[in-house]
Amino acid sequence: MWYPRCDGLLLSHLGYPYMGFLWEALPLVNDYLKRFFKDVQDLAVLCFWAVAGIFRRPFYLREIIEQMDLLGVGSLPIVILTGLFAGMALAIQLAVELVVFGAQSYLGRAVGVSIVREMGPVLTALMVAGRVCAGITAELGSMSVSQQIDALRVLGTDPVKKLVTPRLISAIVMLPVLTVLSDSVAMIGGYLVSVLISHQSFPAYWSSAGQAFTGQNLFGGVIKPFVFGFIIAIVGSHYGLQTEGGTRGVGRYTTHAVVVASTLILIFNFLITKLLISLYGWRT
Amino acid sequence: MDHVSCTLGGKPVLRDISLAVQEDEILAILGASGSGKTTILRLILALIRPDSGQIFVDGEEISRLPERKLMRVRQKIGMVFQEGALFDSLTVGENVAFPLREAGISEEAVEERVRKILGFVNLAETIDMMPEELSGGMKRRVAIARALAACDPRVMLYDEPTVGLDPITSHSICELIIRLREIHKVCSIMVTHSLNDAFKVATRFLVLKEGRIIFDGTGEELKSAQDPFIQKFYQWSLR
Repeated sequence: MWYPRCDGLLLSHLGYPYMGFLWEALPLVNDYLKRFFKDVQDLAVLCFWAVAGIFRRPFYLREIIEQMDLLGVGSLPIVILTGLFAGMALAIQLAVELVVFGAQSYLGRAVGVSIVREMGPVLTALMVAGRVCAGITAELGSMSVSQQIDALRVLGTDPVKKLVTPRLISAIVMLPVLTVLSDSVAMIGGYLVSVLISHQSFPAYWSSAGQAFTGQNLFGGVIKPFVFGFIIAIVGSHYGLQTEGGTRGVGRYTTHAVVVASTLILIFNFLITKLLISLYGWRT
Repeated sequence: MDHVSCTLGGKPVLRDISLAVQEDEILAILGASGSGKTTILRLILALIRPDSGQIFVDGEEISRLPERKLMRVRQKIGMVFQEGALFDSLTVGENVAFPLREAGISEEAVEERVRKILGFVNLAETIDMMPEELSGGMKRRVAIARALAACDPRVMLYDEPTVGLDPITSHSICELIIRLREIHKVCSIMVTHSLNDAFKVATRFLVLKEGRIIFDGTGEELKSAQDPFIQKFYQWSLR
C-alpha cells in the first residue's frame, strides 16, 4: 500500500473521529482509483489497436457489412420512432411558448436547430447505445466467458482486429446515417404538429425550418454522431472483452457498458457543443 | 517451464514450477480444483504471463514475447478447451475451416482439408450442423479437429477433455488423443481430474497441490507414491 498504515480506532480515541473514518476509507478510494485508471488505460490501448486495425491487413469486409446491417438496419425502427415522437413533443412545447411572444412563424426554425444541433444526435446515440452497445458487450462477453476469445488468440487471430474494428467502422459510419434519418423524421413530426395543432401552412413551416439547416449546424449534427459511434463501439467492446464471472458477469458488464457509454455521450456532447460554439462564434 | 510462478487476482496460483515435456510424450497433469492445472496450459499458450521464470516452446522463450510474435509460436500448439470453445455463430465446418480461411488458403483446399480432418475425428456428417446441435463429446472432437486444422502442431494441449462425458464417449476421446500421438508424433499435455482417463493415455504423470508439483513420474510410481494426498486422490479417483 502506498499510504501509511494507521489504526483508525486509535485516531478516534485521540479525539479525531473523522480521521479514523478517513484512514479506513483510504484503501477503498485507493482500489477505486486503481480500477478507474486501469480502465482508462485499457480503453486507450483498445482505441489505439482498434483504429490501427482499420489500416492493417486482413480486412474483414464481411464482418463490417454484417455489423453495418445489425447496427444500422436493425436500429432503424427504434431510431425512427424516437425521432418522430421527440420532434412532435418538441414542436408542441415550442409552439406553446412561441405563441406567448407572437413568434409562431419561427416554429420550424426552432425545431430544426434543436433537432439538428442537439436532440437528434444525442437521442439517436442514446437509443443506439441502449441497443447496440448492450448487444456488443453481451456478445463479446459471452465469447469471453466461453473461452472463444482465448480460442481466437490460440488460432492466431487478433480478437481486436476481428471483433472490435468491424464494429467500430460500422458504428462510426452508421450512426451519422441514423442521425440524419432521425433528424428528418423529427422534422416531419414537428411539421405534423405545426399543421394539426399550431395550424401553420406547409410553406411557413418548411421555409422557417430551412433557415436551421446551415452548414455549421449540419456539420455539428454530423460530427457528434461520428464521435458517439466511436464511444458506443469502443465502450461496448471494452467491457465485452473484460467480462468474467459467467452469465451473471455478462449481465453486470452489459449494464455497466450502457451506463458508461450513455454518460460519455452526454459528456462529449457538451464538450463538442462548447468546442463548436468557440469555433463558430455562435451566440450563447 | 523454468522456475515459473504465477499470481492471478492477487492469489498465488503456481509456485516455482519447473517442468519439461519431451516429444512423443503424453503428460497428464492431475490435481484438485484450483491447484493451477489449467493455468499451466494458459501459460504455455502465453494467454497469461508468469510473474517470474521462463517458458520455452520448441526452444524459444515466450514469456516476454509481444502478442504479435506469439501468433507464430501458437501455430506450433493445438489447444482443446474444456467445453470446446467452438464459435457458436459458425457451423462445424466453418469452425474447422476458420484458421485455414484466416491463413488465406484457397476455398477448394479449405474444403478438402476440413472434410479430411472431420473424417479423422469421425464427424464428417456434422459439417453443416451448428455447435449447439452437438453433444459434449462431439464438441470436443470438433475442437480437436479445429486445433489440427490450425497447424501441424508440435504440442497438443487438452483442458479436461473428458469432463462431463459418459464413459464410452470419454474412451473415444482418449483413443483420439492416442491416435494423434501415434500418427502426428505430437507431444501432448492433458489436464484432467479423471485418473482412469489419465491411465488410458498418459506416459507420464504430474500431480499439483496448491500450485506446487508434488509428484512427477510414471503410472507405476504414482500407484506406489507414499504422499497422503496422492494416495487419497488415487483411491477416490478410482472409486
